Amino acid sequence: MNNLVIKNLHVSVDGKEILRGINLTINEGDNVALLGPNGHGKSTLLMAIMGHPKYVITCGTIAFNKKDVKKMSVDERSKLGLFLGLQNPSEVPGVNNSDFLKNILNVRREKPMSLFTFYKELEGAYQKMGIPFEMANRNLNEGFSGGEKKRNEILQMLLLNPKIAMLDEIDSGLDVDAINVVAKIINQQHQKGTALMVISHYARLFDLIHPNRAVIMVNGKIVLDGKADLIKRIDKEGYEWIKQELGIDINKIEHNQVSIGACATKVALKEQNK
Amino acid sequence: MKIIVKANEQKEIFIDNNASLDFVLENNASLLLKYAIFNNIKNITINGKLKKNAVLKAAMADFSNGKAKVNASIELDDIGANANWDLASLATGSDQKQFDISFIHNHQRTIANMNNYGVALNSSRLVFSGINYIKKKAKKSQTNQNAKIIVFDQNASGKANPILKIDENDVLASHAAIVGRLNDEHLFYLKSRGLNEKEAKALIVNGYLKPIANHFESKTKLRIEKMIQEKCHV
Ligand SMILES: Nc1ncnc2c1ncn2[C@@H]1O[C@H](COP(=O)(O)OP(=O)(O)O)[C@@H](O)[C@H]1O
Ligand SMILES: [Mg+2]
Repeated sequence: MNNLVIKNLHVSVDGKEILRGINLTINEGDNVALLGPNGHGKSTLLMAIMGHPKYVITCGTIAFNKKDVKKMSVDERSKLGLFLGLQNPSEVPGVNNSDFLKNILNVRREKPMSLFTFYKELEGAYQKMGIPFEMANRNLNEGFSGGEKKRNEILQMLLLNPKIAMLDEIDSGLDVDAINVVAKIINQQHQKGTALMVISHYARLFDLIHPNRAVIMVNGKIVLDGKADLIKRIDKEGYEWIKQELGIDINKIEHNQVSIGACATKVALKEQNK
Repeated sequence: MKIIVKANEQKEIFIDNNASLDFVLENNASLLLKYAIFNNIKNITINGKLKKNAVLKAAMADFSNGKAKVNASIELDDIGANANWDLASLATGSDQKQFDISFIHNHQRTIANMNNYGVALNSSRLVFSGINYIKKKAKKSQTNQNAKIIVFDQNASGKANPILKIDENDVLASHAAIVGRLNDEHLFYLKSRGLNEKEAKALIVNGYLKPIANHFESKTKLRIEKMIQEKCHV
């Protein structure tokens, strides 16, 4: 059974504490919607899980199948089966898209694929995505439109067949038809056993991929972890009600409220209490 | 060195040093010109003239060290003259290399195509300045220039100055120039798909530099590939 277990995760960016004690478990078969107002740390969580050097873990743990993810390099995390579809995929100059795709497939195999097998697989993936195969010969995301970049992310997910796919606003920049195609691929991927953690601001995507759970992040903390019907409520009412019902002030992010020292002390206390 | 390729003849020249070259391609002549420079570079001057329907295919693989200017000036003097130029240059250490490549269309219905690719590492400097000049009366000519440099390190620099000088209306001309800097976001992106640092960098430098190897026979081709590995530590 695959599972991702995050405990008391604190993450800082440029010395500012963004995540303040995240506890979250993603189990095999999960299809989790990650919601929350803009700027409250959703992308930060995914970046920290994937290991972006800017997102510094000041305390807490991330384990995937009991392995300490924090100790692994970014590429090791990818090979372990973590996939992050980025909110803003990079344009990498001078790298041919199909060369790139061939490389990312081959580094996880003992023997490189034959060119024929690779092209067959690639062609199949492009067909499924409804992207013209000529796109494979363009440079990696260079000059791609927003929607093309997002589709290129999903194409990579499809080819890499990860154990857990974290998709960050994968629907932004996509037209209605493209959202339908992308949702179909995500559903197929989920059926193949890939757990999902999906960030989106639009109920449309969630209507198509049917999450079993919704997790709401406010001020760098998870304030609700419940059933998928939370998505509908947020779509209708926004996040204001959370303020009333849970007594959380959403608009006030006070940085450095919790210092690294305090975070360390908390952990120490927890350890003592065990 | 001075070379004249006579009318209707074909010639192939391979130069693996800093030799300068003057050449004339007479009517219907063709020249396959291959430069591969691996050691210390000195200034190189190449001057060429293409007559009616003459064809030039030039490839330069520069993996040298040092400080130098390479100056190539190709004149398309008569109808149907067709020139193609491919360059790949790797600058490392404290290299300072500049490539001034120009195509001059002196006559109507002439075609030129220029591709300059470069990688700058460490504290090196790499400059591509390409000129495509279509003179008055050189109508129905086509000229194209494509320059791309990727800069890896903070202290390295790259510059691409493409210049199109067009004195005639009825022509086709295009140019593209990109100087990109490798940054942490690019590396993170590639790593997040399973490539380690070395594999990620190799993918990038090979993308820029390896295609030039296809212009050479196997011994030089292998040497180019080995040079890329050694000098880029990939
Ligand atoms: N790379 C970064 N550089 C600087 N600040 C960042 C970076 N990434 C995130 N932040 C900051 O962290 C906070 C949370 O951002 P983010 O995780 O992107 O929010 P969300 O995805 O929920 O909209 C914001 O204040 C944002 O400005
Ligand atoms: Mg975000």
